[in-house]
Amino acid sequence: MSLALTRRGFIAAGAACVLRPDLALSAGPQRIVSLDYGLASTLLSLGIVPKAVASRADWDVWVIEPDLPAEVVDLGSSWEINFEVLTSLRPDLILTTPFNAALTPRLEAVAPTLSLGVFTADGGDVLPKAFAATRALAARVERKDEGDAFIARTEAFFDECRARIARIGAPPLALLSFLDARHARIYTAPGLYHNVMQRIGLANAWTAPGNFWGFETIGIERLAEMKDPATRLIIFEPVPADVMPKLEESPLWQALPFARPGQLAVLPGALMFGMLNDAMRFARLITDHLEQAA
Amino acid sequence: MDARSPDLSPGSRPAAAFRTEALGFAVEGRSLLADISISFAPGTICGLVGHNGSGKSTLLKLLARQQAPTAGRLFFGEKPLEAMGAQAFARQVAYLPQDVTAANTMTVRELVACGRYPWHGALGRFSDLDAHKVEEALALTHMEQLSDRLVDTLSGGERQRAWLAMLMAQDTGCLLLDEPTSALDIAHQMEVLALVRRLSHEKGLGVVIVLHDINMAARFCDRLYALKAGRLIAQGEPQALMTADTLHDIYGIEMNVTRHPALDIPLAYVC
Amino acid sequence: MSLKSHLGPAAIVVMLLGLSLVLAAPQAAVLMGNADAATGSAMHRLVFLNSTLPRMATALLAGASLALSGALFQQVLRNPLASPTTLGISAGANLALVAVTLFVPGLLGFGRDLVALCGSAAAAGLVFLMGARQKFSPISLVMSGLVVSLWCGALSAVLMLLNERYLVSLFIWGAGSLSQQSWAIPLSLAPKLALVCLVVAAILRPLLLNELGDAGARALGVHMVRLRVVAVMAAVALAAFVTSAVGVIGFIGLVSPTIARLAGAPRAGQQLVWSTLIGAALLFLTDTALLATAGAFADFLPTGAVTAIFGSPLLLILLPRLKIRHRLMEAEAPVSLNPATARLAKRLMLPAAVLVLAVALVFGRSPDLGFTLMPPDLSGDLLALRLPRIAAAFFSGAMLAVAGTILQRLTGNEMASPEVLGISAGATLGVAVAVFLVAAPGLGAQLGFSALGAFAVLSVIFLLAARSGLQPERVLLAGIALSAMVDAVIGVIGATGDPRAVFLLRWMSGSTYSVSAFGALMAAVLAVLLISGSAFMRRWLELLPLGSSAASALGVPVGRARFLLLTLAGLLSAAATMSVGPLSFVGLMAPHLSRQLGFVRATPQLFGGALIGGMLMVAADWLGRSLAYPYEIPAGLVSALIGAPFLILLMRRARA
Repeated sequence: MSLALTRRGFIAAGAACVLRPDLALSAGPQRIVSLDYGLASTLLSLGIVPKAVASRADWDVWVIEPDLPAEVVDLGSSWEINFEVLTSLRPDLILTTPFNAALTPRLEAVAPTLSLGVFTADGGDVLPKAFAATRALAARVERKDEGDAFIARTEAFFDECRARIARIGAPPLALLSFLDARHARIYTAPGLYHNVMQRIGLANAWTAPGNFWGFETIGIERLAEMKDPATRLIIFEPVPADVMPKLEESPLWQALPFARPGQLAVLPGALMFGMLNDAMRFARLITDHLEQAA
Repeated sequence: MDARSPDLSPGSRPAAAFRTEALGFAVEGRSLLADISISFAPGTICGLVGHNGSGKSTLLKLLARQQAPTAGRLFFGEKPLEAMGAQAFARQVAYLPQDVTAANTMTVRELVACGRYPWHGALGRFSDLDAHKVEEALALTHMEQLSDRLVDTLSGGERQRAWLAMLMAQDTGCLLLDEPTSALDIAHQMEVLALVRRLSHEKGLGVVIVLHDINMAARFCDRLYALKAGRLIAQGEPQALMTADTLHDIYGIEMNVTRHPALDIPLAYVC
Repeated sequence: MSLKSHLGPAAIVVMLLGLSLVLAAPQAAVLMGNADAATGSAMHRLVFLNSTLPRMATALLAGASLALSGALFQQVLRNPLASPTTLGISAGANLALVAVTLFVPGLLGFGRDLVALCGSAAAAGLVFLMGARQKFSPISLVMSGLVVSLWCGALSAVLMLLNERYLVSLFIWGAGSLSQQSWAIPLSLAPKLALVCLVVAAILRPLLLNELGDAGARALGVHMVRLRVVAVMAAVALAAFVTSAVGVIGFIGLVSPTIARLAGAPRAGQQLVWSTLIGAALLFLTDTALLATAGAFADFLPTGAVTAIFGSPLLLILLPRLKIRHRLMEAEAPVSLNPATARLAKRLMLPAAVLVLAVALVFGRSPDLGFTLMPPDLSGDLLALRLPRIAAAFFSGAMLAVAGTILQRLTGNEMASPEVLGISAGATLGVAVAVFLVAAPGLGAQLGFSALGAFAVLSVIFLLAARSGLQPERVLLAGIALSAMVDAVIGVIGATGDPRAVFLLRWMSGSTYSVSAFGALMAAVLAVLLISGSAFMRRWLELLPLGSSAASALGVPVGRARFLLLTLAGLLSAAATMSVGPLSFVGLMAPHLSRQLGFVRATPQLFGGALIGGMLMVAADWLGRSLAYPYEIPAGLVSALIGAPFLILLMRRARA
């Protein structure tokens, strides 16, 4: 790039920096609020603390890491963010997703918005879209370098996980959350979990694709459709209290290969509708668990 | 009080009356009424009698335009019934259904004021004339004392009187009454029918009334029409109609007739 | 009993079961066929023995229980529309279970049945209490039942919305899934069903005398009231057991006795027996068909929601068969406040309205979480945010109140309200379509689709009821049937775990959140136009409660008047639904309150009700904005939650 840069252009750019000190000193918007967990968490990784996040009260339940500083204000439910709070914060950028498209005109009236979609109805793999969204966000808040570094960090982490998993050799995994003693949500293509598993060299034992968020709701008996006896089951917290005792009583569950000790693990959750931080958290949880189990 | 005294008050006016020509009514192919041709005389009380299911209530409903006939024609005065507007008809003919809803949130006066609807319509002003007619109706039916009571709180006889007052406020020349005494004890039956008779005679109203009790009908009506299985089988003044043979035809059981010990009216009894 | 009268129902049972077996056969063949082959088939057999078979058993048992429950209700109440679904029994059990899941999960282990029983008994008690006021007339009982259903649904919805984490599991439950992993559920259901069957068998003979009526039965030495209590308790228990075991399975209890009757089981005893068998076969068939086609949709479909989608239209078909006797408004004295209090209340109404509006406008919470007056530096911004919402709430509340007044006067039924007119259901359906056609519909699209939906449903209802001369009861029942269907559709969407269900739930719960200044202006204009329109029809509103024959004898064009008034009520509810959602019960409450204050005649009741409705909605909106700040509870839900118990209190007072 520097080869292509003419001397005149170089001078002009320098002059611009001198004439517009604000551009050179601080890059981009300062008072940013986010309606989406994934975007807020990415923003933190770019070195910016958002002024407010929607559904902040549940951050520690769903997102868990990175930590959200105490001064971040709660914007109310992500479906219906509180405009009185939003207005009084006087933000200069609002991060949102196509999911909140109905709000966009009203958000625009308060401040400029940036809408980035990772989970969109047109489908397709989620992870590449998460990378693209991260780049776009970094560009918009003028933290391009931090963005590139964050992406590089992520890729490196995935590579590391891939290598660690290759060393121990892993069985196919089925990932699920229990809804009640009879029903579960199983994670599959094209979701975030599924993409990360592909990326770090793991096989998803559940092969049927799900909806565009990447999951499917099933009755527990359908777990028997997974034939490979080596399949290991990863259950994400929270598990409703009455599920395990009820399953113990079921001969069907008892007969499933993953009901045996060592074939099943309960892990803390990672946000399944998140972005890179959540993908990394998921990769770390799984890789750590597999290494421990090996 | 002699209920059959024929005194026509001077304020009476000639009113138009109903005429039917080969009237018939059928539901799902079943004939409820057939070939009824009657000219009701104006200013008289005409009773419809017959056993259950004889078609007397159906005939009244056809007259009241609650149902449309499936055969024959109906006239009010010279006009075919179907040619009259709903409101115009309601200015000439008032109808009291057999089972009136209690109108439980209204006072008597409010109920009576409902009778003025055909005159002021959906949008018109409730005029002084309307108010006057309401007071007049209350006075005619001796309901002044009760006018601020809720209709709910009235006894059965008082409630029927309140509804009759509403019909009076409607200021029509003709009343159609469907068993107005069916739920009343004998004293209240007398009270209501005497009122009907007095109103008819004071205002010269034509009345067509369905009555269950043949003796009540004979006592209060000027003319009787007997129906059986949807056909008109006898008509005439009570004196003429109240014979053992005719009564047998009407009700299908052996009956006989005697005289009222005090009044000059026939009394029917089952043998 | 002749053999002949058993032939029809028996043929139907055999046909249903045969059809199910044809559908189930390929499955069973796959699962059992090569049993002697190695490895994989052992698992197949296990699935067949411990999932498929118990599922079939559960379908049979649940179907039988619900059908018996429905048949008992229909016998005892002599009401062909009675069933656990239409009487709100299932919804009551469901609400109790949802509440306990969220707040006292420890209770669920052993006390599940008990919780469900309490819930359904409470719902039943409530419905009968309201039904008693109109002498248990079939229509009023079902109307009360569906209002209780709606209310339980609203409460479940708010509980679910505030606990998103449990959302999907509650949806699945509410929609009734039969999937099984062991014999635990059928094995616990079977003895309970057997026990209730014994009880029913014991009272069967005296129960047959029910058809003679109270006096007739008493003359034969049967204590009818005690008998009825036992029968109703048995029916309530059956519905509660099923709900506690597998969730809400709609309409089996309504459909099966109907089929039994139509198939020629004329006598009460036969109807009970054959309904039970038909119910078992019917749910069995539904579930097998669902399993057989599930692969095609590759989606999770709860059986209960499917029975509701197919069952609710049946209610529409049944309507014309139902004899609606003359409405005799029972001599129920209109209890108002004592005159002095009422006068005072009337005089205070305007100042109160002004006060409510002012508080709602300037008083609120701020990010430091305290209640404050509006800070002056933000007043411009905050006013711009609050004013449209308050205006929309006020005018929508007023419109709902007027719609409710019109419907209550038109039907002479005190439970009539815009909620049960089906308008809201139509609007919701429209929005559901929008959400799935246009992935993320903007405000304009939402409004457009909801209006389209509302009018589509209204036209369907009018067409269905046109044959009866727009008898208001039929219109309301048609609306109720469509509402039930829409609920089921939302249930299906929710149970698949699709996040768009939350959007629909939010929309249904009725928030002024997305009202724009333009929307508020529209609401105001529509309110003024439509409410003055209703004032033009005040004379009809005075006369129609006299009964249709008396009104037509006075020259009121009854058919046209009904059509215009229903259309007006429809427009009013649709306009209000746009800003405060479909479910608020303001349309039910405000006319009552207005009458209690002594506004008995049509015009004062209309305008008094409008003012009260507006105030209620503004107050609900303010509470909804402040209670869980910065989170919002939709105004519609707030008013439904506060309003319904309040209404019940009012009715109890009126009874005493």
